[in-house]
Amino acid sequence: MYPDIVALRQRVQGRPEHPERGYLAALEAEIKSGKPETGTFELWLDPSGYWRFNSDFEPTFSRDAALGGTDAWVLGRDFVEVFASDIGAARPTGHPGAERNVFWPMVGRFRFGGLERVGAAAREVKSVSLSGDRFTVQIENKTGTLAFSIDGEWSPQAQRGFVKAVEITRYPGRADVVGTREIFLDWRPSADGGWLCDKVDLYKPGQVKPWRRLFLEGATEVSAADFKAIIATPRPGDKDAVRGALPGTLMVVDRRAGERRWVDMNGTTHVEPLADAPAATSSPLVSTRALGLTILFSGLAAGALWYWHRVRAVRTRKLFRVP
Amino acid sequence: MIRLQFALGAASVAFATVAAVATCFVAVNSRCCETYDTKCENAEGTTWTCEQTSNAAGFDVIAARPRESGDGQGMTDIKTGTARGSCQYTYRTCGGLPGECIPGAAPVTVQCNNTDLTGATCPSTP
Repeated sequence: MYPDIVALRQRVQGRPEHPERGYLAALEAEIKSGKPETGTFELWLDPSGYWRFNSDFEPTFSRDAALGGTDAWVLGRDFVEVFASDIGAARPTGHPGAERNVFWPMVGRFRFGGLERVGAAAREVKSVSLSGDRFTVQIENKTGTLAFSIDGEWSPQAQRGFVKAVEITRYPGRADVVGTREIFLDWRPSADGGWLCDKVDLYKPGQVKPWRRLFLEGATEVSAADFKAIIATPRPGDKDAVRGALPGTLMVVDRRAGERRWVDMNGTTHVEPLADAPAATSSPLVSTRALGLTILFSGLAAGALWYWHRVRAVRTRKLFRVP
Repeated sequence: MIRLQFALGAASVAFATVAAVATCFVAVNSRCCETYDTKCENAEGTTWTCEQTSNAAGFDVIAARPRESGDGQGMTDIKTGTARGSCQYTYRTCGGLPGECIPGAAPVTVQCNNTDLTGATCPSTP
């Protein structure tokens, strides 16, 4: 039986409020269907740290989130939820800023072979060993509680090294994490003069088959005008730059005004106050947006312009062992 | 403790399940099918958020919870009431490193229903 499922069932059993209950239900459904699940993600980024991130799961689920200069929004099946873009440290539930925790690790893998992810957690190089064109680097954090092993290869043709594998080798108290490996395959030049890894396999500790595969289907540059249209706040009845015509009955959940508005099939407009208070509109604290900006530029050592890049359709595929 | 980390969409599910072992319930207004947060924390105490995302705006529902001190009269049983709508969730799990959420499996359909209080009336609490 698939070991993660066993452990997950044990954790969830008898605890209706367990945070992984929904995840378990999804895995059980997938095992029952016998088909690996695939999701498609599309990301647009700009140098200011603004972005739009679309998630699609066949056949019916789509959900888009975006962070722009003024508005942050989520576009779902029948609603658009609008927040103030800069909410500081007190992020209200549902604010799309948390989506960064989903897409940024993916981008880091494709673009930097996971080194951005490693570098954010550990920077002390403990050893470097060479064997021909291959190298291995051991890195850990200042306290020695988290350690990585990075395998790579120097390419004489490209005149640079490429990450081949990253493994977490030490992390006390996290037996589920120690031994996790990421294998980076199919590095290729990108249009901006850098390199991108097209395929990343993720392994759990002790497993010989990947539990998930990430595929980069493409990255293209888009114009400033197109990017502006792509992150524009969707409005009922308007045409969205990605999804096309939006229904006029789309509900607007306006967290800034503290109300939800919609027009029903008869053309009657409804306005209801939201139960919770409107989100704060500004804060002097460092926002996710500013953090994103810093990481984006510090990682772009190639010097090429990475303007309005569209990382198109990062596909995940989960490979489950059916019990 | 864990319950505090969820928004109402998840809490309403918990209420209904808890109700199966309680003996007296009261009705509460709740929301179902809203996006909610899961709080992630590593061994060093660093915290971050992974959202459990719904593709619907959510629905107002009447849920049931066990009667507490200070509540008025309750009732002894509950049953599934009027359907309010449905949505799909995609779940994210906490990644191994801070600031990392792993996008999850196939969407899960959630049905939102009001909960009806039935059975005998319970007395008010002191």
